[in-house]
Amino acid sequence: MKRTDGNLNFWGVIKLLALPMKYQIAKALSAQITAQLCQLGQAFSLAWIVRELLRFYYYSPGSSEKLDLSFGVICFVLFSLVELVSRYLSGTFISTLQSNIKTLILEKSFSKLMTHSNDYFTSKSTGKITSGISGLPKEMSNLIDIMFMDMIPSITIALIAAIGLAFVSPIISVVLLVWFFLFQGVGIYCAVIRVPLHSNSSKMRGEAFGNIMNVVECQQSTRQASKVEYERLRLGKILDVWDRENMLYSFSSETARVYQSLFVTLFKIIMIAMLSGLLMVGWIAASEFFLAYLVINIVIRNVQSSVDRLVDLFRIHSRIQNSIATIFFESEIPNTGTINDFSPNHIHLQMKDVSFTYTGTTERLFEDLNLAFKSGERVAIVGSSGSGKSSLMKILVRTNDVSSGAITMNDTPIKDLTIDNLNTLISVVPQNPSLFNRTIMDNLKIGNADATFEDIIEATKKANCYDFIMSLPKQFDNEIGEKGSSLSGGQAQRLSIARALLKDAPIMIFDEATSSLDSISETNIQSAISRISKDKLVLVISHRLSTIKDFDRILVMEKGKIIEQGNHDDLIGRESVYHSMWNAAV
Amino acid sequence: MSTIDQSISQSERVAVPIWGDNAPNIRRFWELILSANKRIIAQIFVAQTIASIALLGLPITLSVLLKELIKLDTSNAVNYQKIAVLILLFLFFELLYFQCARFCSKAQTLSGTTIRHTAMMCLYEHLLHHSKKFTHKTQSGALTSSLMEAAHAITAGLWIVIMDLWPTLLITVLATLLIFAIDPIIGSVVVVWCVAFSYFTLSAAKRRNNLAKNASKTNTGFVGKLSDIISNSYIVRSFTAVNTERNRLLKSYQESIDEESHYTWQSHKDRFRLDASSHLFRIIAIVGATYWISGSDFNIVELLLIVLLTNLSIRTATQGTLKMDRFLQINAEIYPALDNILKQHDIKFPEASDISVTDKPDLAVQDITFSYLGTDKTINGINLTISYGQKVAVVGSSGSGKSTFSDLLLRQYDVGTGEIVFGSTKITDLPQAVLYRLIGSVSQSTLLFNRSVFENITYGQTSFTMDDVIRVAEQTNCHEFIAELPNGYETLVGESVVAH
Repeated sequence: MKRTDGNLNFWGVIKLLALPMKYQIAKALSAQITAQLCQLGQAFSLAWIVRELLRFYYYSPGSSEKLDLSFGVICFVLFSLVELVSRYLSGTFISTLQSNIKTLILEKSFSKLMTHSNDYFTSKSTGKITSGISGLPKEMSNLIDIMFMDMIPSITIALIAAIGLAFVSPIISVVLLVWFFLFQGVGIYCAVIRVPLHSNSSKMRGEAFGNIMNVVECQQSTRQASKVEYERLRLGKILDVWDRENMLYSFSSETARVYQSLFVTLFKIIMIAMLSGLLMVGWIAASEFFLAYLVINIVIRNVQSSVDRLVDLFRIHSRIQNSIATIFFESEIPNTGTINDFSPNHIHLQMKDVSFTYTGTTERLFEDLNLAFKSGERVAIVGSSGSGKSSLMKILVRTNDVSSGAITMNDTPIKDLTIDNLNTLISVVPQNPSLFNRTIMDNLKIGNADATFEDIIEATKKANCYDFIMSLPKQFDNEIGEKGSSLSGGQAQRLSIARALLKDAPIMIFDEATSSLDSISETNIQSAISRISKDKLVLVISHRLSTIKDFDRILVMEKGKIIEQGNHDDLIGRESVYHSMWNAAV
Repeated sequence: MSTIDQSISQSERVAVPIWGDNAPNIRRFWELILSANKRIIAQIFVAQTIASIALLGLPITLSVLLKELIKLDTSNAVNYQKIAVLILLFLFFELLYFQCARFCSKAQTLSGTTIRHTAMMCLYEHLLHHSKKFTHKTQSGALTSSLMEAAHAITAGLWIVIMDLWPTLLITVLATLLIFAIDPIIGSVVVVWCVAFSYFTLSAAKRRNNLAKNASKTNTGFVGKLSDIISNSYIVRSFTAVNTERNRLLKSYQESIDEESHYTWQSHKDRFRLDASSHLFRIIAIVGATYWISGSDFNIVELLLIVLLTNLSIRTATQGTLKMDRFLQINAEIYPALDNILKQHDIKFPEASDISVTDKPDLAVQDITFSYLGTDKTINGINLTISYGQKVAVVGSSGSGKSTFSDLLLRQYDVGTGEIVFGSTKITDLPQAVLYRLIGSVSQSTLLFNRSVFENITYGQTSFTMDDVIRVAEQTNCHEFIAELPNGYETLVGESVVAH
């Protein structure tokens, strides 16, 4: 597959984040390394003290030399204090870095997410996408934590310790290094083979999340069908699969951990035996034995905890990769248009030889469809469900792209416009009102952020919802609940219409936008639509034929084809599908 | 593979605990989880104790070993046998520790899954019985993540107690006792320090708890906002509001990060104090011990033991306190999450009783009133009787109370005053299952499960065959479009479907 800017892999994202943060990263790094150096320095000072003590009491008792430990003690104190300070600094640097990175990644991933098509959002559950996006900053911050608090310190400490010990005894240093690399290698190998196991497990976690969220949403149906027990068993089964995947993963981690600690134990035993041997043959002094023991302990502690976290590292890596894979890829609707200031007064919209097939299906919905609309027209589209009315709207607003043919506005293909530009030209009232869990005012301002209060009142009056808003306790400041759940279906639709009116775009599309309204409200809104639409192009999909009777043109669709066209009087005057639909309705 | 299957079947045998009559609260939640898993927890406890003792044996053996080796170095009489025994002893302690640690982590793997499973089921059960009044106020995304987080956190919390807190406590106490035996003065200094240290750290952690709670609350709020935007993503794009929404979201995230950084900053400062005090203490203890011993009869074993043991007890005390801190933090995180879910149910249905309702009850509505917010009456004194077999239509302009009325009949809400009576039984006396057997409902907003069409139609009844389903589909005029779907009745419908 061709790599484009839209497709980013793990390293791409890391680069995206690390470049603006390089100074912060350098600061954090140097503070951490200083702290590690000081830790080893303390061990050296302690060993120096022991050496002096031994020399004084054991090797040359009664010599005239005075016992002077002040050098070792001062070094110990200094190292200890510097370690403390650099730990404090590195903590500060790392947490600043973390919060900066978190904001940055959220911004980037959200912007990317919003470029994806409608199909993307309908094919993935909201819960999955949400947990992907909200998990990404968290995981990034964990990644920083592991890298800076465990991985880098453990590697530096092992290398520095090996160099230091080389002065004492090159053999110990070599054994330490060999062990370190072997241990890391085995650790990495173990972690890598577990990555697929882990991603299975986290996939199941997402599944469980999506399922729970879906059931919680539909919870009223569950209770009304007396199926709480059923849902519980169902979740139980899903959890069982997750448990199983999780255990496969945990067991493999378990085995790996066993081998790793066996490795450490053996190393310690070998080291002690070897040090004892070296001491016995007189190659090292007792103080050096002590020094080596202290240093090796420090190294083991650091390396072991870092290898323990290798698993976390790979786990986080695969989680980040999953999130990245769900978000950072080329949008299905390529936003390659360059025109972004297209705002003609009069629009002539044309569909030329348009064919369209839904992705994942083989059947052609539209074949060589030709249509033309212009500003000032009011067009209604009718037809039985599944006839392609909504799909026609979808290819107009580019939530789906045509398979072949072109849609043009004043002879400019809409593909040449930026998506944002296209969207400013078209205002859609979808069948499903899709409201935000915010105040009514906030929901309306989505339509036009700069609208004045007067504009808003006017739009709500036109959409016939002013009165009900004023009857609410907090009026425009009322919260409306998730997906507008505290409103009735009709109220939600009217708000959604008011929102679209505020946008004031030259093309307005109403996709069964008044289906939940009583006929009086619907008539009021229809007349409002007629009033505002003198110079606009209005496309309406409707089931209630009475409301579109006065439209300039009525298109009757069946199986993706326009089978009849004309105004009401034309169509009703002859033997037509429209005629029979009209008779059935009235 | 077979072990896994076995352990899963074992884990299934842990029954899902039941809340019982007691009000659901966090304490009860802990009790339920603990009692469901008490055996494995006890086993791990014992294993951890043995491991701690082995860990303590290591520095002791080592010091004695070094003493013997020094004898050799200064060519005094050497006891090779003793050296061999000591090295073997060292090996024994290492292996003992290794075995115990291995047992513990294996047990943890096994029962960790079970515990999470039990916790999730426990919460889920409770969540599903909440009324519409409750679900209206809370976002399903936020609820779901609360549930997952709570289950995860309670498992993590439990492990911290057994796997970390207990052994560190034990090691610190034993090591301090040993130091005490060697030199009472240094010993008492260590004791005083350990006690003071844990006391101050924990009280600081407690103070931070509130900050952690706030942080977790704002984060849940942020996730809710994010999921709201994502579920309305089409509107965001179609109204070219991507930038506005991004800024809005970032602002909310910034709030969440700010709350979090109050917490991290505070814990960073506390951590520094903790580090500083343990560093200073180690300096004092080690420097003090050096001078102390160098001034008196020098004994290398004692010096080494003191250095090693002080190091050990400081390290474990620091670790233990940090873990305790983490535990308190987890508890603080669980709190709001559980608080979200573990509300008393608004609408209490009576338990199944001997109340019998005729199969064909009349419906009587007697002077009912209802209001959502306690001010405007949405339903204001409806009286009506509908006898069985009647077909009744309720019409009215939108907002006139039609849907509210049907919600009252379904007991999504309870009436303010008045009665709804089926046959001769009040609606409040009907068990949930009985009420919903009497009423089937189709609502305006078509919320479907993200499952196959077949599953959505049969919903939980396994006895229906494909023929039954097709018959119903034909009756409701949807067979044709289903048949045209790519996988027919097996097509997944997607979330909160808005089909073409």
